[in-house]
Amino acid sequence: MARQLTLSVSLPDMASFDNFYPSGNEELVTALRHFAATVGTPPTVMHIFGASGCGKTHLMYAGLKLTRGEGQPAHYLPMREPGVDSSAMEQIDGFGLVCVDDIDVLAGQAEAERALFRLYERVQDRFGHLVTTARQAARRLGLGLPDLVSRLHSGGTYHVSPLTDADKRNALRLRAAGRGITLSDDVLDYVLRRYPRDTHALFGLLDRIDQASLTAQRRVTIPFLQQLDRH
Amino acid sequence: MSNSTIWNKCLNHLEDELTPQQFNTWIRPLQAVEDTATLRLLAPNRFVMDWVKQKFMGRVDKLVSDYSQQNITVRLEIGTNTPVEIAERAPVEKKTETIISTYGTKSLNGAFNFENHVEGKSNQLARAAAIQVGENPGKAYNPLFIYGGVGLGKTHLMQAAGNLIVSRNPSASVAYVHSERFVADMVRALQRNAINEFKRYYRSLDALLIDDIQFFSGKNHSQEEFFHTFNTLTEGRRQIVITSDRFPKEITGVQERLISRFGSGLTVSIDPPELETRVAILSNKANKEGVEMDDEVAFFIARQVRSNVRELEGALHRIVASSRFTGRAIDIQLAKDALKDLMVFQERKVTIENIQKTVAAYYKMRLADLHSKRRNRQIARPRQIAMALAKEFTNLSLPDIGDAFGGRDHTTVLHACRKVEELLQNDAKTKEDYQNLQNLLGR
Repeated sequence: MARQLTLSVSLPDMASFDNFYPSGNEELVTALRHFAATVGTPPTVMHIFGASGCGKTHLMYAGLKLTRGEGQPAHYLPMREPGVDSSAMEQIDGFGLVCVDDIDVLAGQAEAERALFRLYERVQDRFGHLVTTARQAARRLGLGLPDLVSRLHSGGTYHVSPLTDADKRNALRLRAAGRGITLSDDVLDYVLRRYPRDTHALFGLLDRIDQASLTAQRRVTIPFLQQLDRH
Repeated sequence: MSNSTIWNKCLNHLEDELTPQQFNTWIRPLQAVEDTATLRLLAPNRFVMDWVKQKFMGRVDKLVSDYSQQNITVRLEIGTNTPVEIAERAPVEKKTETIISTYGTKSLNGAFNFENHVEGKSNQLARAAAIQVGENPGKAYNPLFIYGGVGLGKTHLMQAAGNLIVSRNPSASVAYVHSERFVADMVRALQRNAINEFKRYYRSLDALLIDDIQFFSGKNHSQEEFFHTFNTLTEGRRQIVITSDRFPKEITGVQERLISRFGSGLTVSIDPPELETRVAILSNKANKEGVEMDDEVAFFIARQVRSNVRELEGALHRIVASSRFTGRAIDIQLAKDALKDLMVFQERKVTIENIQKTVAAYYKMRLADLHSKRRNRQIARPRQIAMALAKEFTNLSLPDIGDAFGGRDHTTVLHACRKVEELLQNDAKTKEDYQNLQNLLGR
């Protein structure tokens, strides 16, 4: 049941540790790589927090991929997604790495908090690893179940630093290079001047550029972007 | 060369190759069975078997082939060899295999024992009681009810008692179960029409360790079943250990008859560890991780993380990971850097004004009373507590603290701090209030 659920949430092929621009988050990346690759060893949990768009979900995907590559089960539960609720946590079985994204949304919902608590206990019993993400450290989420808060703080708690504008430029370039697209300095200047600079928007734009340049079989230039805007 | 000789050589090789944790968890429990063309390895349960198949089988095959110099097939199966060997190698795994497959209760965790439990004032009594129970199950205190806040080591003591029971009597059937799991298993047993099996299982145990009983709140069916299990076990002089986050009579949503039974044995509390115990816990855990840590650093961390042992452990994990990542030795600066994300909220702005507001609200009094000259006990005692908290949580000098309380002399502050210290030793109510206020300010 849980495997079906996991598979129903498709992971973007592009998200990996290699195309995550670390920008001050190197220690977190190393820790998460290690955590995903050593399922079965303590500690049980890792909590990653940071503002929206700083790359938490990307990192989770990367961790899931790594664990799966090792032949271990990997489960992803995006709690903010419609239709994913606490009952999904109950369905998880065959533990390896379990990633629960955006646990902020569980705060204040007694049953959902208890479901996450039970999931933690099951993951621990079966020597799995649990990664949780939120916008704040567990203690600041307003969770009503102290047993859950202390458990979420029992492993490593890591903050993801947001990208500066210079980092966004490098991150875009890295992500584009991973898709075989070369973005010149002029193009990057143009993108960062003309488009919203939150990472969701920027990487979404990259998806559009990628598809359009493939279809048109053209290099990515400023005129090409201008044309893209007109469509 | 016999198969067991080959396997022993493989074991030596793998012990060097793998981390102690990997080796002890996955490889050591495997038992080789003598056969001719096949090396049969018995895993104590499916979980171990699957894991070894996935992670280590290729390596095992290669080593067997290297050492035997011939084509020996390695077969991995679930099973046990001789009882003696099982008892020596993995008594817990063997014992709990059925438990996992039947009800999901987990094995006793061998990592929880009395040797690695750090004793302090805050847990002295609970520890002594747990040892007694481990040595004389069903006789010493039945049930043993341990209560205290989250992450203070209740589960550790409970499991240590269970491990002690098993070490003294390897044939004892001891089960650890979280109360949420007990409820879930019971529901499942009802759905599968297997409730009699469920009852039989729990009622046939020699010792039942049930964690966080407050989660039974509102679960009437489970309470009913647990009531009968409780009676059967205690009547048969079999041990029950219960933990909770609060005193039995304060548990809400649980039947009165159960509450009275919870309190019919010995009830002991675990308090938050004092600074010195937190330091000892940190040093102990650092030692276990093979990490060197100066007392100075341990004191620094223990001052930052006051809430509970579990979070202390989390802080240590973070610092060790950071030290390994940066290649830096663990010193105060590294600890500060590693914990900066956590300290953003640990280093809450505890100002003297904040303390005064919190104390006034806690005692339901006016803020102005704390600054006033009034000296009746209802006002003077909270004022003294607020002064002691100000000394603990801020870096203000005693004269500054005195000034903030209506221009009092620093000797008054000193007297207040001493008085509170004395009350913390001798007066349970003041102690409870003080801890609650510490927690409120610690948030």
